Amino acid sequence: MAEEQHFGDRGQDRGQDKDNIRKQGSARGRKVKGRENDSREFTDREDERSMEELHRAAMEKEEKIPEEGNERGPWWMYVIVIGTLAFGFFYMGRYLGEISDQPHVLFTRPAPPDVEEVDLDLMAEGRRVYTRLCQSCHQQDGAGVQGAFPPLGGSEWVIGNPERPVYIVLQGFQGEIIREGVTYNAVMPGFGRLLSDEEVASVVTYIRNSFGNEAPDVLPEEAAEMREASDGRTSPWTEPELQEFIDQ
Amino acid sequence: MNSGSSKPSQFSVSELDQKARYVVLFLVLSGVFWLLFGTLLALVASLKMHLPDWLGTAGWLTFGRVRPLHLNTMVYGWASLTGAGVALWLLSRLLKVPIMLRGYIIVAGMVWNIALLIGSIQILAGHSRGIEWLEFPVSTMVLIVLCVIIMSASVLMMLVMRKVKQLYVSVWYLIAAFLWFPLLGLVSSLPIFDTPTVQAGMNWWYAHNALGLWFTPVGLAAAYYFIPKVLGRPIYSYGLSLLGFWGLALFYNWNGFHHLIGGPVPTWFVTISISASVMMVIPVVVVAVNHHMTVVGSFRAVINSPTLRFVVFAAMSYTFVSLQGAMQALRSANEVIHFTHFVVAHAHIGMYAFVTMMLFGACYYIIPRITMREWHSKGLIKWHFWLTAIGIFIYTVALQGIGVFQGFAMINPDVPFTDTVTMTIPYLVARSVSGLLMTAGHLIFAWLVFRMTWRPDEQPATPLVWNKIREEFAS
Repeated sequence: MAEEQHFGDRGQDRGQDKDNIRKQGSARGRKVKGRENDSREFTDREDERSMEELHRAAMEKEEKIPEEGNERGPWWMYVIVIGTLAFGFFYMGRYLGEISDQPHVLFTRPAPPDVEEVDLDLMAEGRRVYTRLCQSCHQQDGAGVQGAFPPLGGSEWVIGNPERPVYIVLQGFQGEIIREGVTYNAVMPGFGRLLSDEEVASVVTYIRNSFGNEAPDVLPEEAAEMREASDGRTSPWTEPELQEFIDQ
Repeated sequence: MNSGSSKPSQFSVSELDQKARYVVLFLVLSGVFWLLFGTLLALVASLKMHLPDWLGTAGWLTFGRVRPLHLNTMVYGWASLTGAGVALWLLSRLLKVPIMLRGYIIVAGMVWNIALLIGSIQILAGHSRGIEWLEFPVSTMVLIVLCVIIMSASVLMMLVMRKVKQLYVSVWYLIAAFLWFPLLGLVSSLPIFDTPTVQAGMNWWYAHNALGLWFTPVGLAAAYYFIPKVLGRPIYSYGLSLLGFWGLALFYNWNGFHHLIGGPVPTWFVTISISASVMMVIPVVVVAVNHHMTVVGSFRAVINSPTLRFVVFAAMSYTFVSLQGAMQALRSANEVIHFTHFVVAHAHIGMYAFVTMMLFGACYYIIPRITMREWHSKGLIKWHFWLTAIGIFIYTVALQGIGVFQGFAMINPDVPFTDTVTMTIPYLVARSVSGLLMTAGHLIFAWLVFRMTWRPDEQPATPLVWNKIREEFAS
């Protein structure tokens, strides 16, 4: 303790009355003194105490290493501690799986033995395929992009003979076409390798019955037949080639 | 304490601070430089999230290089260098011995800075290691670890030559941190993690532990020191300190693998990690109770003391981020929020609202004592606090709010992926705005530190308590 007090003295204003400070050991005396000397007041503070007073208080406790009390803590803290331990061990026991190098034990289900047959909703499935693959060019409303991607709404090719849209979906399309005075010239890739017969039938049914169109559904069996008929062709169709193929 | 004055070899705190002066200042100032550099990178990366074409033509300014470099400079530049400075100063005061190997540590600090510079150029040139938190090339990492080992040697020498009988709780954390971090750095640099799944396991073991076993102990040690010190009252409970420390030491090391939920790793591996992540609630709640019960009733001091303001904010953020982390480790929550902006914000609460704010608070206490000068303006300190606090608050609310919606959109097969990206754009703009606030705060902080260390002639007229000590030492 002796050292602390010695250190506390060092922080005092030695330039002024040294003896006076030694005699007036009380904090009260120092406080008054600090206030008198305006140049020492640190004005940029919210509370009343002078900075010097704060510093002196700080200096006095500076020497000490912080102490620790011996409180027990509130009861709910122990509830949380025990509850957390319980949950942690429960979780480990429940989801540990087997000690092996297999990933996702417990989290992958084997295929159910009886596969339930679900009716294929051509429009719903077609909408999903359209959103995934077609929408970025032909747009959400099927209006296409002027000069690049022709509109699907009101298109004769879409609502007419179903073979045309199916072949275009399967193998793609390229070359110039003119619709209502606008020239379109872009390449559409074929999606035959990506889509199953059900998906081809769905998406064609979807565009034949959306955007104001109305035309009979295309069934998966029909799509399968057309896929077989056009088997072997890999490059996108051009307008004359497609016409010729359908006429055969 | 009682026997202190009888031993002639006992050092007073001002003597300890004088010996710590150049080492700690060098580390802190290096840290502040990297803070500014990292902040610039952060702003560029954040703006690129909603202005993707901006600065997109030069390869070295692309997002894939700027963002990892931001993380690495903040982690190994700002937080590690400044954190090491703060840790060494705390240990010197708590063990009552001067910092050992001071010359070696300054040389190590220089090497560390050069390593950071080389590593930064390498990342910008495209030679990143491609592992999160370990993007610096192995050469840089090994140099940094060697520098930390020199500091660890100093710390262990201080421990052996200590002038106190009982070790205060901060000392446990700091000694542990200086043993854990070199281990983490060395193991992660070994060339044995060449299969992808093993590398992923190492990656998250390292990245999570760098936060939990290096920055967290330093941050908590600072909180345990400054809260009772500034308030002038004892820490609430020694028993809780003990429980909090050993809880962290026991559970944290397992935490990282909850990042691999759904990955091709064994189930037991992930399950143990999730259990340990949940168990982290124990040390976190215990430490929070210990800190809160110490501060309770003295909240006025939090308003008046710049140090305490930052430290209490940081301590509260630690509780918040850790409890959040325990919840989001669960498979059901992780399924939604992983790979969204939620996790980005979570990491920033940890590294910024906790670690960085704690280091700011520590700097406000330490630098006046080692330089024996005063901060230039209390008003600017207040600006610094509010700009950074409001900045990280906006950041958290914006990104965690949209992160949840983004997560639900991403696991919904009917929502096209593009929609999950475009829905976040307004919130990414809010992130950039909050980034600007934090940048302004950092500039103020750098200016205050600059005024204090480079312009000694223009010190504020009051108060002069620390200058008096300097005069005494000079005479």
